Amino acid sequence: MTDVTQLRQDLQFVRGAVARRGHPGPGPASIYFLWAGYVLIGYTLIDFARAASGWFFLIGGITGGVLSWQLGKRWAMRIGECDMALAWRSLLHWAGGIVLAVIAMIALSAVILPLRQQAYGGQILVVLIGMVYFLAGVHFDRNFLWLGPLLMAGGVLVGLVPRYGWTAPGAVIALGLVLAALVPARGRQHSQPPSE
Amino acid sequence: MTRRSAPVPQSNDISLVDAPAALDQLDPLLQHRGRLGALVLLSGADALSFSRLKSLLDETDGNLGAQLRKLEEAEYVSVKKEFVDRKPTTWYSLTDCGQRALRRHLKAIESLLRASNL
Repeated sequence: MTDVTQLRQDLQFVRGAVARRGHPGPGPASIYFLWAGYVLIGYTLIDFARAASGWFFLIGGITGGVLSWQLGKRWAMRIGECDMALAWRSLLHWAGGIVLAVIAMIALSAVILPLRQQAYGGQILVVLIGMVYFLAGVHFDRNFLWLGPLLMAGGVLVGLVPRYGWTAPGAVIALGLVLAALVPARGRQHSQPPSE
Repeated sequence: MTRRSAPVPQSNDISLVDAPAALDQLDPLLQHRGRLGALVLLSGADALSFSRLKSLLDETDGNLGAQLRKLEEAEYVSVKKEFVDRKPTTWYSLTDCGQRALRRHLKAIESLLRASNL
């Protein structure tokens, strides 16, 4: 004989377990530091060694992607939770978002004269990446909900910097990533692996 | 002509509710909350380690091990053992059979709760 009260208690128990699981989050902080370094070095190279920057972004981007995948996998193993759907969603969000931001900037530069003259390009890119950050906040890590708008505002403000038009936006993005890694977010609550 | 309304159950006992089909659909193996919880958690990930399940379900090693063994014997979960950071780790995944059983069981629970006006 099944009792409804018992059934309800069992469902509450299950609901509690699911709530404890929460959201697995965006991954380890090391991924954020990795990309902060990548952005800072890459953007600085545009100002100081433009010829090398393209190669750096290409090789560094691929290497960073592979490293991120490995770091994320290692983190998932340590917390005891393997979720390939989340991994693919993260990959599609960041890779797709950055590619779209670059395409949008190139498309804008085709119709807006000052962009064609390479003014404001860094600003536009930072604002678009700020939008990608904001969407990461909607989907993965609550920190990005405030970092995204902050980055967009930062992208506009770096226009006031008279020199090093790419280094300054790069520093703003890198700072945002470091902050996202350091500030505890609801999404990153399983950093301590349970002992077996 | 007036329609006679159905009798209202006076107890929380489901056996008083006219839902025999839903009762038949309940999986006896999943009427234990630990086993049900494990399957529900596994349905939300590709694989969970024993220690992760233990912390989420707040069960003891012995109890959880026994419950998971029953699920494994029924082929509701598959087990894989490997070393992570030099520590032995047991991974559990939901099988297709387990997925179907869970879906059937949850549907039956839903029907029962609806029938009992909860």
